[in-house]
Amino acid sequence: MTAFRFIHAADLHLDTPFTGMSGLPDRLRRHLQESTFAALGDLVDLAVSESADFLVISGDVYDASDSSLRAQLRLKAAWDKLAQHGIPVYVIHGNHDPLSSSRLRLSYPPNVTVFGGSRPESVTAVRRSDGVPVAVVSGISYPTASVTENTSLLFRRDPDSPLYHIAILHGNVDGQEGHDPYSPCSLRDLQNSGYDYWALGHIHKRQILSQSPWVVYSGNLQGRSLKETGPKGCYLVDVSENGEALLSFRELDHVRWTEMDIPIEDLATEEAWKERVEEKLEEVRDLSTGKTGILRFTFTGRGPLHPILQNGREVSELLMELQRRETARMENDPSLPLHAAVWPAGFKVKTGMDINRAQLAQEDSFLGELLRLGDRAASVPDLREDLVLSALSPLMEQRYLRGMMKSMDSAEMLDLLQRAQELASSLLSEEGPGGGNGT
Amino acid sequence: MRLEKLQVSGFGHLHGLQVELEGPVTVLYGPNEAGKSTLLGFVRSMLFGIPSRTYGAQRYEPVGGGSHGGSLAIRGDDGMKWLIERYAQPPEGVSPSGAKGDRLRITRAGEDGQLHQLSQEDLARELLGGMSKEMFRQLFAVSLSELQEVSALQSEEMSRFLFHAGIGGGAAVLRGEKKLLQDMDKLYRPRGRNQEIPQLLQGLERLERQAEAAKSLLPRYREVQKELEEAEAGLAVGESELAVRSRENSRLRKAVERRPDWLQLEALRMELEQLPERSPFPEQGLSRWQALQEEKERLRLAAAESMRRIAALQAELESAAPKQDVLKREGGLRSLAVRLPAYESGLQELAGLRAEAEQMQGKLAQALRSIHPGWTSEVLRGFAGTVGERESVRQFMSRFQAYDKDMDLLYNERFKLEREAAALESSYIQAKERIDASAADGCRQFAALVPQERAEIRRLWQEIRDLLDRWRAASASRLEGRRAAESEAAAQARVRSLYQKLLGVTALLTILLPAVLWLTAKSGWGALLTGIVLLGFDGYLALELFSGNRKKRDTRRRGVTSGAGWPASTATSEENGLRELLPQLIGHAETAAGLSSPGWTLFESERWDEEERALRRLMENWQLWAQRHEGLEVQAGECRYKAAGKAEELEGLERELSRKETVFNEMAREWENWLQERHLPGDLSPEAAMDVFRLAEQGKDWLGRLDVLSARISALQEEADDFERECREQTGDADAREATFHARSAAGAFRTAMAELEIQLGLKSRQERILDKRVPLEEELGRTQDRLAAVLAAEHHLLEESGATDGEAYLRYGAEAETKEKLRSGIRQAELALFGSLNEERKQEFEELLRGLDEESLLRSADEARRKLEESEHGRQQLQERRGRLLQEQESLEARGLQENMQQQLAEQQAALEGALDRYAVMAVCHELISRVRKIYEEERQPEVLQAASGYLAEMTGGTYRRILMKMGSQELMAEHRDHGPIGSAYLSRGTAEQLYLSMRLALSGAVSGRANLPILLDDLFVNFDAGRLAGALSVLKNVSEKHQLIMMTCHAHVIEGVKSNFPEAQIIAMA
Repeated sequence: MTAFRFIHAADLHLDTPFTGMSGLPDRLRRHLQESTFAALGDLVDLAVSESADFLVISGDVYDASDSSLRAQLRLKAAWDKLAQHGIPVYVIHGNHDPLSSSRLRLSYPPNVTVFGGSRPESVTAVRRSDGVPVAVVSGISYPTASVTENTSLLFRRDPDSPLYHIAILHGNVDGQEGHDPYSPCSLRDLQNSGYDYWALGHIHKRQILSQSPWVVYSGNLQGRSLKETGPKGCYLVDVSENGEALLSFRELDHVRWTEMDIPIEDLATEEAWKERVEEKLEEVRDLSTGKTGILRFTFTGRGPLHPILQNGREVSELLMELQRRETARMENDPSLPLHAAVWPAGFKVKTGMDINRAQLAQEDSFLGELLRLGDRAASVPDLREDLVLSALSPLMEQRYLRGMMKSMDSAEMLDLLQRAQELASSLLSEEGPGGGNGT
Repeated sequence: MRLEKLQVSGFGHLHGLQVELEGPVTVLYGPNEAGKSTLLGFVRSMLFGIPSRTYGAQRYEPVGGGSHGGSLAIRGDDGMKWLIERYAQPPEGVSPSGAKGDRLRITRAGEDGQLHQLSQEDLARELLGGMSKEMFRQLFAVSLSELQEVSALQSEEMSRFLFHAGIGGGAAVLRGEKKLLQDMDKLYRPRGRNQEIPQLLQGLERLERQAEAAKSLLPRYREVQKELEEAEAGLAVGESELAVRSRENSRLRKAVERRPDWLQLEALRMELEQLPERSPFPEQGLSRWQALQEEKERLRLAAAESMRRIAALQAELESAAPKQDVLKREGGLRSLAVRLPAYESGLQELAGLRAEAEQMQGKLAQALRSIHPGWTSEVLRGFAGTVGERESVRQFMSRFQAYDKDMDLLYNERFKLEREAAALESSYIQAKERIDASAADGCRQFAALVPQERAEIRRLWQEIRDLLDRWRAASASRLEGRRAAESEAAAQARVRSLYQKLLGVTALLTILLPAVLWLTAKSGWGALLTGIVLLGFDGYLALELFSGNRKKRDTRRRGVTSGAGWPASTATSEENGLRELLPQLIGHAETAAGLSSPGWTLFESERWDEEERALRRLMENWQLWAQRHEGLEVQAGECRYKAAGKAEELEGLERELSRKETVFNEMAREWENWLQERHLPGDLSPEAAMDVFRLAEQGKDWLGRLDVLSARISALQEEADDFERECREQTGDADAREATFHARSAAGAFRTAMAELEIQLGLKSRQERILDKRVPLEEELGRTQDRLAAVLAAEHHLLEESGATDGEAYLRYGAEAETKEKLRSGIRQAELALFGSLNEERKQEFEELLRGLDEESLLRSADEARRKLEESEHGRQQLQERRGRLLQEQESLEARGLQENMQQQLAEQQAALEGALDRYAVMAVCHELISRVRKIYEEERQPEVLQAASGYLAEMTGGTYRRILMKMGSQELMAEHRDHGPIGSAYLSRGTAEQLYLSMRLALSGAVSGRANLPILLDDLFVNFDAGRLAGALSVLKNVSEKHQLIMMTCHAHVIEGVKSNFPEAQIIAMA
């Protein structure tokens, strides 16, 4: 076997929008929009600088549904650059960019190999320095957006070939929660296939499921929402002469998402709360070296500040103030790189009244009754659904909102229910002995 | 409480009425205006005060005037009797206390029969349980008008009783709900357009539309790319077609254009063919011929002119010939002219030199005289004055000077030596004198000393001193013992003086104390006894004192004896030595230093010391003197020795002096000889001889210069003579006028000859110039003739070449050749214009085309070709335009694609919408929770009052209405119909509504009267009730009457019937 080096990346999602934020200043918006491309550019640069022999990309290069011309143009530019350096790219299409949407694609340079969708195709990759064959790369694309059969079973190692075998697949291994169950397969299926390295895509969280053979999700290149926190990038894989692979993760993201809880139990005044928030923000700023940070704070716990936070006005005022400051930082000095920017995307209030809820729930009072009802709804799904849907029934009149409501899952309903109970607690106890803060 | 008796003094139209109320239920039955409602008012007024005049109708002023008021007898629940008397206008003589205009007296009679007067406040508190007037009116003394006042039930006061305590005040719930709804309304309302969520939705839709447009960029881009490729391909095809057509077109067009030219060409070709053939005419033949003719003529004229000018110059030359002999002398004259200035200056210099020589002669004579009168120039020349001579003079000089200096030194030295010798002599004499004086002094002072030799004296004294020291040491130890004895004696003396003092004091006491005692104590015995004791003491002291004195004396005596015994016992060897030696030293003891002691033998301590000191002093003085005297002797010896030395030195010096004298004389002789050898006076000093040298040198200098001058003068003279001789030779008359020739005229003659020479030279140069002119003229003439010959040869050659016999024929042939040439060139030009850019093949083709087609068909096919070409061009242009447009669109699509951020904006808008929705959803769920709980409260967990009222209503309506509901928000009362569900009070029939209100009031009165069970007065409330409902109502009231006294007023007989059947025991009072 010959030693070689390749890069495994997946889920580029070029030019897909960043979700869960609003009111972005133009400069930051441009920067965000640029970030998936910047990450792609870094990927190309990495391949060049590390003299990778080839690149495998495990699907979802772009979102066909968004059909961004920019994504296509920039992708082509990136492939062209790799072509200039003679670095081959092996790509499959995933559920977001299935082959059926290929009419939207521009033509690619010859160094790019796109695998077909009917059955796994194989090519032999060579070492760039001397043209010695080093690996068999197999892959299968999604012919349509939804592939529900286990395509991993179609991969069969060529028993006569002594070369290193790499499989590129886009799918959900072992049915991981919160992801579409496309191309469902089990880890055992992959382990039995005889391939040495499974370059997986689809799940954006980076994870190594097995080391022998390697079953690797490289994660996406650039986080795009608060669900995708932490460093993002690709794996640089060095395969040695004895066939052992050494994986090193390389950060490529330009924007990093951070979610942070701030408990309010020990905060007595609004000033202390503001100070704490600013403190945490600066903490994140200090930590996010070289990246633009996007941050969401979740206020948790029970404390005297709950009514203020519940009220929402102070929270949104503080958020606007912090955003204003960041905007000013960005715009006052346009030469300043956005590295030091930390954008507070939002505050989530999950705090509770500074009360003994359990005791209150026992009480023979309106609020006690309400809490009891809420708790009952939380435990009885039918009641919960009935309650939430009837509460939101006015929204159903609007087509768009109806669509949004329908996609609501039980966790979201539970969350709503819990927050509604807290809201009721603060509303109803405003006049009570403990809640004199209401105006 | 129970109302027992109503006594109306005057109230409305009632007066003097007294009503006794017995039992729990009383019905006042009477026709209209019987005063039933007035009684109701009366009870209210009695309990809470007569209303002021503001409420005119309720005040019930007595119709006929008189007293306004009455009294009310009440029995409390505790059995106490109350009497309330109240008047708006008091009857005469009665003045009960009271505020607000009415006079009031409230009395309470206890069980013991004691009366207490109480105030209205006491009444309200104790009897009415704090019930307000209004509430009483609403709940307890109810007429139909009050019953229908729904709002009363919604007052704050009532709702306290209406709602459950656990609601925490329904108000908070309501307020919370209201706030929630307001906030929700701000976010969203069904079909609203201006709330936050609809606004966001609108923005979203707008953005979606834009995003949709952006989405179309990519497909459009691909279309554009495809079209672009097509356009490129179309352009490539069109381009080649265009090339073919344009070539064809240009060929035809050219043919059309050039057809006239071609026709002309054909004509020219024809004309050329018609001209005869001849031998080739020389190139440019005619013009060359013409030029040769002109040249020939011009050359002939030029030759004639040259010859004429040569002849003129020859004539001029002959007229100007110079003299040759004068010219011959030119060289000599020129050299003389050069020497002339030198000759003239030489004459001047000669005169100057002669004068200078004379002056020099004078100076020389002077110098000779100053050396020596006998000296001449010859002597001077002989005088060598060499350096050697000068050196010998200088030697003489230095030798004389050295001699002088030596002599000076010697004389000085001699003088000094003499002086020193004298000084030494005198000092020696002085020293001698001092020695003598010192010796005499010594003899005088130390006459006592025996030995005369100083050494002897010293030796003796040394021995004596040793002996003395030893003796002294022995005597010192003896002195020690004597001193110890003396100190003991001193101690005894001190003890004795103490005893003396004590004795003094006690003696005094011995005298004074007995006397005092005797005087003070009047006891003579005591005093006497004391005196005796004291005396005894005195006596002891005195004894001690005297014994002390004795002891002292003993001691002293002992001391004296021991001191006196010492000298005798120690006659030592030292003393013996001394006794022996001393006389040796001092001979005459009496005279020695005045020592008084004659007895040297006695070594008495005091005198011996003194003597020893004197001796020591004497010896010290002597030693000092001996030292000084020896010093003086040494000094004198030195002086004498030095003086002898000086005298010897002086003698040596004298000898040296005489030797120098002889040397000097020798030298003086030598000098004289030297002078004589040089013819110089013998008495000259060497310094003067040096002067002679100087003068002689100067003289010689002048002599030398004189010689030079005379040599120069003779040389100049020779030169001048030479010049003059040559001058004569050159001027030509040298021999003839030599005698008369003078130096001065020589120059003048010379100048005349020179002028002559200049004239002749001018002539000569002119002749030369003329000759110079003539030579080129002759050369030119030769050249002209040569060229003429050449021209004739050329003319001949031309004729020969053209084949012409003479000039005329030649001209004719020339004209023919010219015509031919013109035609050929015309043809060439036409061909060039027609076929210039064509190769041979194409040229043939073109000619064939021109020959083959006549003009008309040519024009037709040209038009056809042009049209085709235009078509092609148009097609290409369109394609190009299309390609340009497509490229532009591609570019703009790319730019737009790179810039658009619709998706991101859309995502942001969605995020904003989701945020708003989330907020709305939380509030909506919260609202839902609240309304559900409220429903629970309204329906399941009703307050007691409502439950009771529901029961009453159900009973009244016979179960048609199951219960009463009260909406928390609006506090609207609703009756829940058995079949139709809740119905708002506003929608109920009048009767049912009144039944509902009655039920509420009865329930409330039950709730309100927690402490005091007030009587209930109902003023004809059943007018709208049907029989069934009336029965139901009465059955309800029956229950109520178990707790409250019930007073009903009615004007309806059926009511009375009903009451009778329901309350058999009811008291029915008929009113007139």
